[in-house]
Amino acid sequence: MPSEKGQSALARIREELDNQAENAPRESIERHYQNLERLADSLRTLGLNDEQVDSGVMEVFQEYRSRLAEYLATVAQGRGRD
Amino acid sequence: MTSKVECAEGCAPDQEDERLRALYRYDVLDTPPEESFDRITRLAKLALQAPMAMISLVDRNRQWFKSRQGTDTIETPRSISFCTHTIRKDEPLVIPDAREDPRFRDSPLVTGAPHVRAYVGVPLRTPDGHNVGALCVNDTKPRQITQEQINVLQDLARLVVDELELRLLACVDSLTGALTKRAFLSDATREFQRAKRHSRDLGLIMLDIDHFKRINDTYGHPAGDHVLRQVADVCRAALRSSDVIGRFGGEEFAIVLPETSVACKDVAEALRQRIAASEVAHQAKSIRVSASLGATTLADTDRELMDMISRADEALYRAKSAGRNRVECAFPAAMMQGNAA
Repeated sequence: MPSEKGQSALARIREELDNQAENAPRESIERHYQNLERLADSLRTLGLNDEQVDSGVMEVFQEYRSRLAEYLATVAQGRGRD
Repeated sequence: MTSKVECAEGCAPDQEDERLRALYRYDVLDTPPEESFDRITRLAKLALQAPMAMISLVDRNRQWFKSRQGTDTIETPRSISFCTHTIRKDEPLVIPDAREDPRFRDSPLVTGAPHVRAYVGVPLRTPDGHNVGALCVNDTKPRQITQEQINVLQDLARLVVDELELRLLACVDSLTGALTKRAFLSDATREFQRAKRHSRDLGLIMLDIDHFKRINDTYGHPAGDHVLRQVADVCRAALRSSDVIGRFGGEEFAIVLPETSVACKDVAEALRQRIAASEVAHQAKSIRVSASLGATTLADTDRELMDMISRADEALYRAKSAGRNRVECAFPAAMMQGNAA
């Protein structure tokens, strides 16, 4: 059974991903979210406590989020033409 | 050439070349440590309660660690690595006690530092099916690895590939498939430095689509996008896999040609002809496209890539001024004398 904390971390991530710009790479985003869901389940099954699962999933996502922001900035630059 | 390592590892040379291409596409070897990968290895170490966790990328003759916890080793020869065995299959490789395994008991990684006894590795599998490396955990004591622990490693390995793929996306212009300007400059600078270091030839072409604004104004921006895609496709089809093409600005592309001297003029001319011969079909209309190109080669006096880019840009400007749909060259004087002789 997913913990409340784990759920809330994933729920926050889901909400944030759903609010990404139109030109965000949807396939990558969906794949990443599914992989985070799996990871949360696996860590929980392994016996990590709620706090560890929550922070582990969030930490990995934060790095992905930074990379995603870089990508979106690059796309925005590439579209600017005269 | 197929190396002895590849043969020793039992990989088909063609498959190995494709695997290496997939690895090199990420452009990640020999880059500094990054927090995004370190967080994953830290989590692997924590989850498996092990002293060492690494992201190993398996190069032609070495394994190189993009991230490492519990060891200072940056790389090892591929011939002694555990991970080269892991990438041969799509399943995890579990070694509860390396001293009991004839494949590894004599490995220097087992008999000496870091004294690996237990190993579990999961392949880093790209979306197109190449195992470019492994996420692995080592222990200095023999131990059993549970399925639950393997599941965590597999999930983390997928996240490593997510990171690599997103990096790749950020390097590629989503419209044309060419490298972004930043990624192009990074790759081209590396080629420039390599050519300077080894006194090799290097060609550079700047390409600008003619009257692009008019195409956009006449046919609309979707048509303009279509033209950009087609020009990039035409160029890619004509270039070698070792050549690097990037979208430099709106309708401007830059191309670096390793090991190419004055012949880059011929390459530029071939690109011009192919682009001029192609018609872009857009909503039942046919759009004729042409491009102007400036070409140059590496000069002894060039100190940085921008020297070449500036020269090619000046040549491109001359091509535009002279009526467009043409190639102009800016070869170093010494080279032209040599060529004439």
